Amino acid sequence: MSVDETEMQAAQWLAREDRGLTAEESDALELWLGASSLNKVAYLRLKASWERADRLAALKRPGLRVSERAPMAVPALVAAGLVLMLAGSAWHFWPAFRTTVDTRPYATAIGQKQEVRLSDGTRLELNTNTRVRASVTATGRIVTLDEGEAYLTWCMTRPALLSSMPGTGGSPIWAPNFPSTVLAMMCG
Amino acid sequence: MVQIDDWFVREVLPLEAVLTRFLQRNWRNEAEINDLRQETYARVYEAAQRERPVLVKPFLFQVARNLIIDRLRKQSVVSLETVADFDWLNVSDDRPSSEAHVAARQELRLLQTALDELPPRCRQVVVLRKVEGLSQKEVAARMGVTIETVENQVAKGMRLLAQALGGRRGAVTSQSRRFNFLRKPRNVR
Repeated sequence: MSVDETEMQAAQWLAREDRGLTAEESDALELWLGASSLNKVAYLRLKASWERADRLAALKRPGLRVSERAPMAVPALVAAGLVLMLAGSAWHFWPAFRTTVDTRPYATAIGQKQEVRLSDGTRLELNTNTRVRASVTATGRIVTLDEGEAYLTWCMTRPALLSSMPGTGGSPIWAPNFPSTVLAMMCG
Repeated sequence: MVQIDDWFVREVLPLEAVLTRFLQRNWRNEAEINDLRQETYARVYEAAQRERPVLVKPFLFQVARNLIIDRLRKQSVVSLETVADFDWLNVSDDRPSSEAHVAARQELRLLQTALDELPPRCRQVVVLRKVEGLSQKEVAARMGVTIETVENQVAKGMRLLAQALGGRRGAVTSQSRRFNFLRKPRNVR
């Protein structure tokens, strides 16, 4: 069988999977996958890119379109990077940031999205397959992104501490208090 | 997901763009590139079931190389001695695989470009499914088409997205270099 036909079959299987397989179809899929490594890799390749496309959900909100959001988010992140050290010491010596009132985890499963409003009015949008921890303190809010993609909107005068690098010991990034800022946090 | 599948998705698939460029440089028949790529994947997958390679990228290229040599042997266009003369190792493509870790923002832009290039009907289905988050059934109802149509368009969109995301377009610039080994007359019998 040609590679093209194999790919077509893999796509058909995944499209069926995308709408939900019957038990019978599941068995047939297992058989098909087990029949050859070519089947298997064609399936994995298409599945991976189809799952990558889950990110497109970020385009849903108008105003969050990549082209419009990017110019805002880039300087924000650059600025955040510049004051990283400052924030690091703030984190260390500023007890207010550390004695967090209550840190709450929020998570979405694959394909799921969630909007969360923190007690100070900060809006947190979680894209698919995302885990964040958020807390509001006397001096600001701390949001840690452990996985996935989240958008943060706030219009308060207080700063936010953001951390999006779980692998690096979670040093917080300080985001200045731009009025009504949307900041995109992405991970991985 | 099974461990090996997980490994394959995480370590091998992100190298698709460099692999494709490598194949294009060393195989002149563009129509067979997909074929070579999938065959390479299958060999890597099978080898990894026995033993997981430590360095994935060199291993992937080695497998691709061997595959090309096998094919050339079958075609018997080129003698085996001359194969060693090829530009194989001229893979200056070995810069750190930034391909594997496209920043998330770029990723979104890449996806959006790929989405915009889909044929209109297919694009509409993918947008409703992935951006709006509707189920296939809901997409069918919204568009007033059968669920089979939606399913077919999903299958089509999947293939086109995979092709676009796999870096085929970015590879076009290396087209001129693809004919490398044809320019070496002593290599061709």
